[in-house]
Amino acid sequence: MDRARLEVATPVFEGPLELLLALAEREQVDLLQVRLSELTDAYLGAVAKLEKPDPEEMSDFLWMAARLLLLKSIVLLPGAENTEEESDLLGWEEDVRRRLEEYRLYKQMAESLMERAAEEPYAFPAPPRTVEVEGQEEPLEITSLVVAFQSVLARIPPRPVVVTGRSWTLAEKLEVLEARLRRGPVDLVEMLFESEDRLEAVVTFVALLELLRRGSVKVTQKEAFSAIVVESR
Amino acid sequence: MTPEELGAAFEAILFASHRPLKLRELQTATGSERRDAEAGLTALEQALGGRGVMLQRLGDEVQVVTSPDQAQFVRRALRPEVTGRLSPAAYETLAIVAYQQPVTRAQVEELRGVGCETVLGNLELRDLVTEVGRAPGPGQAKLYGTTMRFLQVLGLRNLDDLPVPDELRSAFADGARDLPEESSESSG
Repeated sequence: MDRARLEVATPVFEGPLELLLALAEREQVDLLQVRLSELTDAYLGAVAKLEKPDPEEMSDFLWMAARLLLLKSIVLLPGAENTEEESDLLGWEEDVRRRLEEYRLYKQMAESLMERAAEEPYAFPAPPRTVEVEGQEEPLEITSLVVAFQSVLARIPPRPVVVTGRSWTLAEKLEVLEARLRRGPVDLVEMLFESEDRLEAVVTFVALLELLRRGSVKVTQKEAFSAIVVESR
Repeated sequence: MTPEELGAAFEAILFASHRPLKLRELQTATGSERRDAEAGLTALEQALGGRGVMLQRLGDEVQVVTSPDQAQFVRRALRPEVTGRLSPAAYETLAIVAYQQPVTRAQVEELRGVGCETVLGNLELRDLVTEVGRAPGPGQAKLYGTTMRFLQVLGLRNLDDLPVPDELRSAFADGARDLPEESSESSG
């Protein structure tokens, strides 16, 4: 068996599923036919060679190793009735097999996407350009922006206690905002309402002010109480 | 207006627009009903067969873009900016979002068996995936879907154009995994 091939081809495994799948392919076993425990030795060998400085990531690999060893021990002991714990473990094996099979399908799809992308079959959209139309709106005053923002903020719930949302830096928001504006104008109020909590709304708004300061966006409103539209200059 | 006339009007509007337009915007501009607008789009799509541009559609949004067959010539003439290459991990995540959408981060992570916050964040920054709604239930997790830009990078007319390897067709037909049933409201 060509053991060196795998190590050269895929030296980095993101998680235990990816590693197991690679081992199954290397050993040329059909995951639906053999016991997962047959991959235990190969798995342990591979984990021993892993370099994962992050203990949390490493623990995922070790957890899988422990389950595989346990599974192997059950399978090796013939005869005895399965205890409840052992039945659980056999159920777990089925679950892992199913997940591996699913994961394998998505890996294949990822490869087909990659192959397609490699041919660079881009479909280019028209670049941004201005079309002069009648009734161009006047730029808005910052003060009316702040008023609008405060009224929106009051309607966004505070951060929930249980669910931890992600935190945003201004730089991240700036990038998101710019990417979004490249696609077209954005309704300010709608965008703020998409915030998961007030903190995100505040960061979004500060990012908008920053873009205004740089002069890279313009904010307009057709008439009082109508949508406030942000767009790239 | 006949579907062909409507299609021609849409072609003109979409040509002059620098962003994807909602079907509703096209209807308003032409004073047409939804069903007639759909017929107009179909007529336009047929009229564009074999031409240098094609109609791209994602949900309710449409855009006229260059045909992927002409990509090399457009690139040579205009040298447009293109995205850098993605990592295999990014493609895996992208594949899951593309075929499973709308999908939560937790669902992606379950399939890949690893945390995906960073890679999803990167795909979002590159405008390849975006939030398309919120999952019902506690936490109201973000639902991710692919974007117009995703279609453009892969030169697809719509999501039905996604390449599906033969082996997978049968797996999906057998219901290897049920698609999430909750429908998502576009938040845009």
